[in-house]
Amino acid sequence: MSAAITSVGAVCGHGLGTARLLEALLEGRTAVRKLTRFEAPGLCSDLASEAPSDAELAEAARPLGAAAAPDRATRLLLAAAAEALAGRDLSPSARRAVLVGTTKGALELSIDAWREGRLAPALAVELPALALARAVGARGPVRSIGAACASSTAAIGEALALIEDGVCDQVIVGGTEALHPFVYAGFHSLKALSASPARPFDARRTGLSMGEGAAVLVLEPLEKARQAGRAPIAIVEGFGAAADGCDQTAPDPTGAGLVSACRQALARARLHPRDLGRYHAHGTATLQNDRMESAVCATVFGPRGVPLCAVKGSVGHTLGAAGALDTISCALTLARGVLPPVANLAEVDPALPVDAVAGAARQSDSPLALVATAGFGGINAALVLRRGGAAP
Amino acid sequence: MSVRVRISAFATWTAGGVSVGQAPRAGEGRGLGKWEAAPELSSIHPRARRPHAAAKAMVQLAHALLADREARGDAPPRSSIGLCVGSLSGCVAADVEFHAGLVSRGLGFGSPATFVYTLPSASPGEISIALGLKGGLVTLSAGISSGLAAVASAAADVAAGRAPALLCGSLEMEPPGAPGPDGIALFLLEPAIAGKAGAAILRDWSQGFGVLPQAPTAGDPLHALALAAGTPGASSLITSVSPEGYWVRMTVDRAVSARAET
Repeated sequence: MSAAITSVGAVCGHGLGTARLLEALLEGRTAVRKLTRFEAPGLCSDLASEAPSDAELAEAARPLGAAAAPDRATRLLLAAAAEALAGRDLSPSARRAVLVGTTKGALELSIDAWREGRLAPALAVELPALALARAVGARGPVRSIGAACASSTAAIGEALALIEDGVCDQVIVGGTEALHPFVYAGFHSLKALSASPARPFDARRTGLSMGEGAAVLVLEPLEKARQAGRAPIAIVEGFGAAADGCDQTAPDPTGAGLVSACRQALARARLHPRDLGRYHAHGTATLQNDRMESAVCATVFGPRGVPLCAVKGSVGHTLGAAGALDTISCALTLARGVLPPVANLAEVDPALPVDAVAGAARQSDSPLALVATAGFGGINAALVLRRGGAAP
Repeated sequence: MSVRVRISAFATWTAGGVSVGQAPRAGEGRGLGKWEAAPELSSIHPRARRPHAAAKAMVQLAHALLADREARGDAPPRSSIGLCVGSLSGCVAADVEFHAGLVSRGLGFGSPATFVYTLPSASPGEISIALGLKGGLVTLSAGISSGLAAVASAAADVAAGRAPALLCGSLEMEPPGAPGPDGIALFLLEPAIAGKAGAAILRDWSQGFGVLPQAPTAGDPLHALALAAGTPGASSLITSVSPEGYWVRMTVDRAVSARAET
């Protein structure tokens, strides 16, 4: 069974709204710049993709009528949700669910508590989902989903399941992550940060760039959306998930786990790899990830290959929000019939046999895409998207 | 398509210790109770690289559960089993430890070995790595209903044929000084086999947010689930309601039999 994505909202380093995101992606621009929100003395990088100010986020979220958010991850989520839900009837409904992917949620509140010698608030990771659920009258299932950097992709998979099982008529799926020195220092400790803006699949790539942001998608049963006159931006045709069972941080170099997730998604969509017109990569720009995804492409698509897109050079790695931002980026560019260039990619690594889109956007008639995400713990998740009827 | 879902194995670790296939052990105190027969980590997880205490405990308990299941034959291949774990406390113990390290040594000197475990999905991930479970892996948070929400989500996936088997349940391990109590409860869900008596069958699971005009099950709902799954002839409605408004409920039917059959 398919699910229609009937509206979307996003906030990221390019600013508020999906229009700004799409424009930046089509032009191959990066939002990765010098950090301003905190200092990073002695760390291997001082770059990140930073979202708008708290005041701008609060203003953007005002139409939702939600209570003032105590933390930045919630502010990001509500700002994105306000765009996605503009004009929607939000009367309380047991047929409406809220699922939010995040890795650390309202982490800043926990850090503040520890600094003051207090226990962390018990629901820190759930605060964004709770705030969104209360703002949108959700009476169906409400959950925060944690699957490392695949959190919001997994949330989309859960949303598809709720729609397939007939539990919900509307699932508001989000992903959110705010920059924080705690996480920045963590990726520094793993030596994963690049001193220059991340350049996925580039011969001179040196690691990832952190980012923050939020993305919200509204998923509905396809038939109900059509009957209501809501043309889908894209259609989620299939979802797959698998674990590497290999290592906590390094992916299985053969990509076996991500291959399994991709094949499951294709099987559920009743499609063959040759039907696809693009592979939307996780593309963190670490040596290991991009090498692994190159192996995945070779295994799934064979010598034919498909064009490869990736957005983390543009918006940074937004961790729990990445899957949702990737899905929206892919959906919007699918709707335009365009393959966006990979930001900061100058020369594809000759050791990686991928057809990464470099320099300028390319036209593409193919309506089908595979979106792949991978995370710590060997977690992998993949989606098949089909272009809907509505152009942004 | 919808198949009936059974609990084919379960295990709990409470303040009273570990119980496999039987009712949870009552005990006092906030931490995990002693487990004399706990398997040495090196014997079940040779590639372990200093996993955090929560991850280690999860691996040990999951190993005991799978060993119990596999001893009864026709167990699903481990590579096909996925993981769905609920947690309110998440990875807070590792968070506190990593943060303390940054405070004492500086931002540039965080411990990578600890940072890796500052994800709620890290402990279930350790089970996947140690025991070769390669299905989908996800953690859920829904207040004190997190664990039962994970069981409900897993049951839905097995019933719909989206997963052949799922190891689900809850993990709560807090740092010293937190109120606790700590506890782990794991359940292996598989399709029920027609004609086989004695299994604990899950049915009528549902979840929501807001007011539920029904009293929650007294005590820990996953302990109640384990008790019901291990009690021949029991049919129990298990309900969890959190102060924030999350609610989950399901019914477990255990046929009359001396021992759960697969």
